[in-house]
Amino acid sequence: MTLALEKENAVADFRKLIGATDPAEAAPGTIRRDFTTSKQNNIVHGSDLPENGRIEIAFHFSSRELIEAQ
Amino acid sequence: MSAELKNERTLVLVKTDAVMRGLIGEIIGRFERAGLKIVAMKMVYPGKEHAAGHYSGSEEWLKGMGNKTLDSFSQNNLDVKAIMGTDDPLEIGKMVQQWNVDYLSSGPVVALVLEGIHAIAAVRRIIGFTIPARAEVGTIRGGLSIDSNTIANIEKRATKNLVHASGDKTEAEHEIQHWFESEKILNYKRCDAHVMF
Repeated sequence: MTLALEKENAVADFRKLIGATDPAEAAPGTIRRDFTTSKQNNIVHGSDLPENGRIEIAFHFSSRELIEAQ
Repeated sequence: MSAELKNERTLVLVKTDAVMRGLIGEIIGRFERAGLKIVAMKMVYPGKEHAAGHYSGSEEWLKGMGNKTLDSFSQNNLDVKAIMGTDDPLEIGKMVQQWNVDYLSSGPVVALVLEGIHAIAAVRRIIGFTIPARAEVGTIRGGLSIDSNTIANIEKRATKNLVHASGDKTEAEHEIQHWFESEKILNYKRCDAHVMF
């Protein structure tokens, strides 16, 4: 499932929410710590830098598929 | 026979009031946890034309909706002629259809196809009665909304009921092809399938 999420400081904050790539190192309460134990099957991807966020969104979505925030 | 039962499909729309209220995950999570498989999903901002095409729009269907609306006016002791300007079921059906189209095209919606045993009936049960104010506690509509058709009728708008789901097989077939090209519907196995089925 591919999503584009929007908020202030979205890239860094989302990385914090999902936790470290290796679930053993992910902080308690993060998605990876709570829902997986496998470094390979790490459940979720989040862009690592704002620049890559732009590239990845453009790769997965055409501009008309992105809905303006109401 | 058994494969056919397991693979029944239904179309669900998480409508714009649910999207705006941040309830997408809550609603879709309930279907997932029930064991229904998501086989297609996307977010769209439907135009009026696409929203209108979602509904059957046949005269018989419009009349049926008009009659339902007439019933709800009389149950709520509302003067249908004073509010709607007519008591003709077809004319009322057309007006209500317009309310529905306006509601459906008023913002982004999440469309999905769900698959599972008796998917059509299962989803309807999880969603609850059409009108949130009278939907059972524990259902999506009963638990997450309080909108009422009494106020909606007076305000000449659709009752905001968070979710749409196909009512029967014919509707499901029409609605699934209206929202998704067939190659967008994916084939995969959920790993809990062998436990459940």
